[in-house]
Amino acid sequence: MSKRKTPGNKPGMKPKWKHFLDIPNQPMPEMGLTPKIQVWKKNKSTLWHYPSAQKKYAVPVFLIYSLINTPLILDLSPGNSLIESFVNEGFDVYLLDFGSPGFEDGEISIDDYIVDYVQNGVKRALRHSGASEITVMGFCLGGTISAIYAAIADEPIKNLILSVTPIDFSSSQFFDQWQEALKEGTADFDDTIDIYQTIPASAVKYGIRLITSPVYLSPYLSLLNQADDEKYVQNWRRFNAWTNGHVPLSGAAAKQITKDLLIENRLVKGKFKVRGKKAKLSRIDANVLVVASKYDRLVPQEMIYPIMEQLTCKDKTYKVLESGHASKQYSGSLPSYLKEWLPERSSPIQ
Amino acid sequence: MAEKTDLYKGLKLLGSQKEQQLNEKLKSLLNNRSLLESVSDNAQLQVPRINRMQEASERMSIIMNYPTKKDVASVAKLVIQLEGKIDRLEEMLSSLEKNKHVKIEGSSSRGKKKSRGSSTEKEGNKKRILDFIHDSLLLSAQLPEVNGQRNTNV
Repeated sequence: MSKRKTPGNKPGMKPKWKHFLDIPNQPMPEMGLTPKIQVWKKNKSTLWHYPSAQKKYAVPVFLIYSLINTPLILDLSPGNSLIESFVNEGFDVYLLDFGSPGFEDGEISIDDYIVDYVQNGVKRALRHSGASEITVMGFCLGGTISAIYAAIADEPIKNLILSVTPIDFSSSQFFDQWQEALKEGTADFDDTIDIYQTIPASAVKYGIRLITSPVYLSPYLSLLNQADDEKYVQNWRRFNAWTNGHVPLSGAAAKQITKDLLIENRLVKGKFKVRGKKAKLSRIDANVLVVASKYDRLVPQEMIYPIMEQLTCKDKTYKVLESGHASKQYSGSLPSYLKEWLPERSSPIQ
Repeated sequence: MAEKTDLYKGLKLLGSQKEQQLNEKLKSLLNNRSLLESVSDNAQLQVPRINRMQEASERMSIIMNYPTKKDVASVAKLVIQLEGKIDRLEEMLSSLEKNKHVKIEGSSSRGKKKSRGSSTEKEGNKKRILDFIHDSLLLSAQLPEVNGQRNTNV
């Protein structure tokens, strides 16, 4: 057990820097504690079911996280977990965890993820829950996948929630010269990807770090500043573990993201195809909530907002939060933007 | 104590400012088209070398009798294929069960009448399952091919 003083106690005698140096010796706090049941497994992917404490809504929530990171951020700790908030609020939750692809998964493309994993996962969730409709919620690249899926889905998607989801890749301002070289074909990494079959987790991590913050010092200074606050330290460590816990990206998916989304921006142009079927965003007929973050450096609003112009559904809402890409705090109940929007669209059980 | 707290706070503020400045500088330095192109060219140069090494390793594996990463991948793909087949079987069983429930409900409301249509449907389902099992057995007999060549090491 930690010897650190809790914030409520008498101020500790030990200086903060000593607490700070002691942190690596402390056991890692547990993560992902909300009770769950495995419903379905396909290759490395797992469909988890988080049963609601007391079911209040007939429409379950199906969560799709990004391909390059683990969904642990959705269930960091009791009291700071989006999944726990849904469950406490009376929603049945299903989470599709794509797992960590290996060498043998190098040929899994975005099309495969959408049809074989997401579509089949949604069918399983519908069958398991006995529900006649479902809410699909996607995060970051998982949101892009959710939007594409919703555009081709035959399943009854009642609500679609897209959280910090890149849609218009032409609006990306990062490394514009690199983008030009990729677009014009003077830089090409396809053959290299073919050798390794996946983009290794470390390459994904440092690639994201390069776009956002190549020098990564301020989180450690924040930790030093509050090193004597046990709760803060534990939350910091959990978040830091997630930040460093990238997963490899399958080669075919990486190539498709680069070509179809980054270079040709097909999704916004209505030319993205999933196994020959056009995925037009205007075909989405679910109620849609699009969420952006004001201080998001990875997916700025310019990459998100264009979906609002593409959607033709009657019920569409755009919400901007005062937060960064992933730095959201949950307090045991649903955040207000979800509480105001989702329950009334989820068939409350009388 | 307050002074010390201010020191840490000050350090955090100063560090964040400097970090932002450094990041901007680094990003503008790295945002160079020729830099990415030279990285790409170098990577392209490595590709044939790595391919030759991998081919040599494949040849060696025949003599040394060890499995290569491609062999392991082939086995994993077989497992994934099997998983897919079990999935499809599960789906069929589930739809059969669903149909059965619907039929039971239908027959209880209509009495004991048995239509010729329902027996045809039953026969159709039976045939579909048998065909599926037959196809699956045929598919299982085939090993996945790697780069167009059948892998003999599996």
